[in-house]
Amino acid sequence: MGVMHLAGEVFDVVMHPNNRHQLIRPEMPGDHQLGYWRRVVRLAALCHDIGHLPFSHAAEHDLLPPGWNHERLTFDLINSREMRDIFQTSVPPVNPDHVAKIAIGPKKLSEFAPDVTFTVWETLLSEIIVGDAFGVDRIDYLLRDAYHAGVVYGRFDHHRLLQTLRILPRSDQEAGSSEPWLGIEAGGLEAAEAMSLARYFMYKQVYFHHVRRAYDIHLKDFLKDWLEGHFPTNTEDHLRYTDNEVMAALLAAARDPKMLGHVHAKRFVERQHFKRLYERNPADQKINRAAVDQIYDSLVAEFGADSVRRDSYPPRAAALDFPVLRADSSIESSINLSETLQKIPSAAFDLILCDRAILANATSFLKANREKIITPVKEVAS
Amino acid sequence: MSAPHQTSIVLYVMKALKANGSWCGETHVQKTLFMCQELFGVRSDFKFILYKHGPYSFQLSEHLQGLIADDLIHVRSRPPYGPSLELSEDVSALYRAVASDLNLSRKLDFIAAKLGRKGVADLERLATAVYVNEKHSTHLPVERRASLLISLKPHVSSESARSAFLEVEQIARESQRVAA
Repeated sequence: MGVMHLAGEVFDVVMHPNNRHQLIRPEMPGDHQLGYWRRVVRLAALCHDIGHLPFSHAAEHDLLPPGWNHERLTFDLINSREMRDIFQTSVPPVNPDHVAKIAIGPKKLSEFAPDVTFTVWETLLSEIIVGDAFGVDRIDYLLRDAYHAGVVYGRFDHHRLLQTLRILPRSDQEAGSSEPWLGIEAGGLEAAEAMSLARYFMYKQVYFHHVRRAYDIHLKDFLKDWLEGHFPTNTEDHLRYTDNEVMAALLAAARDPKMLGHVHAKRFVERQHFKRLYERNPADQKINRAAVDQIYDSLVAEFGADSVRRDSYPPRAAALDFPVLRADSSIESSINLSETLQKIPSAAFDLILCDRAILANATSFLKANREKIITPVKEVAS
Repeated sequence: MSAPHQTSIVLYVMKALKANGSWCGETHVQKTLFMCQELFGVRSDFKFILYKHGPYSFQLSEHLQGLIADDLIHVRSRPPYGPSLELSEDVSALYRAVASDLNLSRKLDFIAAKLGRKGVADLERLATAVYVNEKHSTHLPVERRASLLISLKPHVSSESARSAFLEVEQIARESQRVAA
């Protein structure tokens, strides 16, 4: 509901007649259609994450069949008979296909519906919700997660940010494209910098914290055993699983050695999580781009697959390059105007964890062998 | 395809763009790899969809972010244009495999030479024209294809759309000689 509220606010700001840039007015729908699209955006925002599994992202990659993710489940739910009926019988009716497209966006939708294309207008509306730069989903979760985790990293002046968002041509240079993008007025640049920093710190300090990642791994290991396969993907069965069912099963399995997933549940409940052993780092990457693969393989060969786990998240597009409308009405790339945005790195990690029982031996093993493991083998001329 | 091989191709394309006087923004890298894939069948395993400035690969964008994170490339501000991507020192070893594959490197060099000095507006209309040709047919009249392009990118003028198809046909003809 927070995302829906913010999406409506952004829509009202960027569509206000005083805020529409003259170069992109021809690409906007007529005023009589704006009310319809406002409803679509708010409904899409409300529904955009309804396909999440218990514990959101934690179990998604390994516990759904290949080709499935929460966006695809969201797509199926929005297109379920019950929901299509709600959309189509509302007054005035809303096209569920529009809701699904705007909720999921071109990036994720292309993974399972490659023939669906987006108009420029639909792309812009989906950016309001799921965009990397100013998507309200991100604005909402940073603020909310920071509040609930008791950290201040995620806080920034989102009111100022939202009030300064604009739909702008990408460039006003002759060689540049006038394709409309979600951008910002120069006065909001500091708020955008603050959000980007908040995002970076939240990822580094909360979402990618090695102990949190360890519990994701133990949860996944437990679920694999408990489910004896995957989560179901048909909408009716999918809705039967919530955090509550999983928590009850986890506690029961931790107490009973005969139950499926007992070992993993016990680690979880008794806080005997795996410990951090090695992390991807620029120095080793310069020697060998496959350094983490090779270190992981060596550790598995030495200590066994059950004692070693790998968890990674590649650097994602930071998308900090957006158009900025300056006081003199010129349009400039955010990168050219903000040294802060230039320098914020992508948050990423590639982590190897191990059972605390082998931590001391594994640390010594790495200290003695790391350099040899990651040094590329020279090709022998034939 | 392995990530190291993808890295080799991306770094080589950036080197080739720079050699052709390009300011080498992300759009240059995106459209060069897309055109190499469509005109020469160069495999990079980056999936392209219609998005910003035409065909766009989120996977390639994420790959570039990975290269930035690993300090293999960096972003340089170059007002009044968008940011450019620069190769870091000592990365030539990482694209040596592509450089020594003459069949592959001459195709990448050819497209980099054609697109290197173009502005984003030109890259957008040319790459979108290739996308329209691929989705529909090169047998459709240019006028019809230009209308399809404008339906996808309404900010492109009719004249620019028409000339994009003619220019793409010229590049495709020349590419056949390079591929031979």
